[in-house]
Amino acid sequence: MIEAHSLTKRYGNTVAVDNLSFTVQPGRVTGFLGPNGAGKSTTMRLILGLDRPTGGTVLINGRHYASLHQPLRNVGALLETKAFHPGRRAVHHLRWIAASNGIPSRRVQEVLETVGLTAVASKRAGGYSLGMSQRLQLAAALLGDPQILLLDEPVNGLDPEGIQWMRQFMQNWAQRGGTVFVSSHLLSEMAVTADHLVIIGRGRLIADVPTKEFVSRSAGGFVRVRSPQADKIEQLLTEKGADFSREPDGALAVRGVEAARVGELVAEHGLVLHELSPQQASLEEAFLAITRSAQEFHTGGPAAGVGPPPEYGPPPEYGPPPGYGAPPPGYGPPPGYGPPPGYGPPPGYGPPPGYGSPPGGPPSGGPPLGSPPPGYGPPPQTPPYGQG
Amino acid sequence: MLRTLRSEQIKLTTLRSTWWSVALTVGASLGSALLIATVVSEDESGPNTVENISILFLVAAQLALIALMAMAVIVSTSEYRFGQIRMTLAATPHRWLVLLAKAVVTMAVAFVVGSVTAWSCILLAKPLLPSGLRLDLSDPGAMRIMWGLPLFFAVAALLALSLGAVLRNSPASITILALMSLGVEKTLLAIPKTRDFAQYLPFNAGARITQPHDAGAELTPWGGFGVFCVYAVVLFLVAVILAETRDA
Repeated sequence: MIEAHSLTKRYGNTVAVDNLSFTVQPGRVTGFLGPNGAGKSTTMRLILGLDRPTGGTVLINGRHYASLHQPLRNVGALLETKAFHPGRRAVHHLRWIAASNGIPSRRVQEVLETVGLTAVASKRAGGYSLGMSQRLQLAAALLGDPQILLLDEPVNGLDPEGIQWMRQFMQNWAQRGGTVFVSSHLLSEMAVTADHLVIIGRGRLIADVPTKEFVSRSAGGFVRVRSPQADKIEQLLTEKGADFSREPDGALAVRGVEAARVGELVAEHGLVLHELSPQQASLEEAFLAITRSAQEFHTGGPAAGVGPPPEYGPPPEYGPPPGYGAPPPGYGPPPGYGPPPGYGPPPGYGPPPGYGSPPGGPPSGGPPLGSPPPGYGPPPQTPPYGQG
Repeated sequence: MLRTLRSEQIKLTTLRSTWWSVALTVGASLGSALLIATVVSEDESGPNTVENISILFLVAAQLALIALMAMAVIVSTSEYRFGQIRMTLAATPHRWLVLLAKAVVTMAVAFVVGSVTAWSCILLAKPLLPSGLRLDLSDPGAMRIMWGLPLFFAVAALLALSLGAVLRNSPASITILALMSLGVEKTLLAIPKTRDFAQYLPFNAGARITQPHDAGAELTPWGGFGVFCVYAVVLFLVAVILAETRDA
């Protein structure tokens, strides 16, 4: 079990992790979600005691990481893509790690077998592909036969087969009573891997919910209705008390009513339809919406004019529902808040220039966040924060 | 502690760069000693054993040392260059313990390399020396200089490892060490005005143990070595304090 209490980490003026509290329970896969630069890796490093928190604590089975006797027997961590010396043979890499925690060297062969690297164990790790590197890192995490696994973006760079393998591995681990804390910026991946989600944006907790609940709450579909008599249909829907909104192209997005029912209603009144199509909002859209709303708080701009224009925005229930641990009202960082130049990730990190500008001025660099083509979610790709 | 030592020993001995550095150190020392032995003439050499040994050790104690210090620097810096430090500290969260284990292992390797260098230089060069040149290891001071070289190597390795841990950057650390030991300190020692002060600089002081006793100098060979040890230990403590306070 991992417990974080009011965990905070500042680098100069930049708050990487902000008053973060959550618990990771054994017996299930807990997904740690957030866009790049949200503070996931920093949180992972804080858990392992690699970085010192500015405030708050994080405990593993009730103890600080540094006070664990032979920590690798309690916690296995896959931190970065390549945290090994490229000139060293894989088997030697595992051997020094094993020696540091008094783990018998036969375990080295066992974990190599588990991750399927036995045949290439005597190759220098620098020659490994990304997928092999991830497997080597996982082997290192498994050496001490720990109860807790911390995995930072473990499927990064894996091929579909590798992703599936990693997913099954994590789920099996949790089924046997282990604790798995796995970070990712891809909701679609976490939706099929994790049982529980801890979602952060800009270092703050946005949601701490079971995956099922998040998916069912967020991914509600709607019916897209296009008609030359849209105004009349709108009137009709208002009379019926339906929940709907206007799409940018003038179409109506109707929620909570089946397409068939909308069609019947329209037919009853002899109106013309050009389109009547059920739409499934993507999980990515929900994820972007929920993290975006957290970021708006943090950019400190005026409420109006920040982010997407209203009609581009997600429908009301896509936002963080009350009680999801959304940032408390009234929180407002000082003006000009933002990562100072030169902080950590390469240029391009942080709100891109023009982000948060009034409607009509899409941010330069990267896909405009708030303007997906009508009826489609934003492409499930990395948001334009740069790599972080 | 023993587990951490074992772990650091595996790390050091499973890197190719370690063996290159060791081969370079021993090879350059031995080669130059043999070369000196064949070209030195009886009247060029000093009147006693210590002086003759110190001539054979000249390249070892000045130039080959750089390769050994590079190895020691890399012990620290390679951790940061490849992100391996995160794995190291996840395995051993006590940072002082990691640095101490690195220091012990690296100094042990440097001491062994120094011993091999010293004894192979003398044993192999002796037959090549002119017959009139005195080289008798039972002479007073001979053992001091024979063990002085490995001791000098060991403490230089501690200094280099500590500098690498402070700067976390191989090129910068190695350049500083090479410039100090070969350039700046020697130059200041050659200038009469700065001579008195320059003898207390790290490598000038440390190298005294590989040189004959100089009645005119303020520092004795052991005194100079002591000064060198102080530099190394202080820098090591700085490295430990920084490691404990900085983020990995």
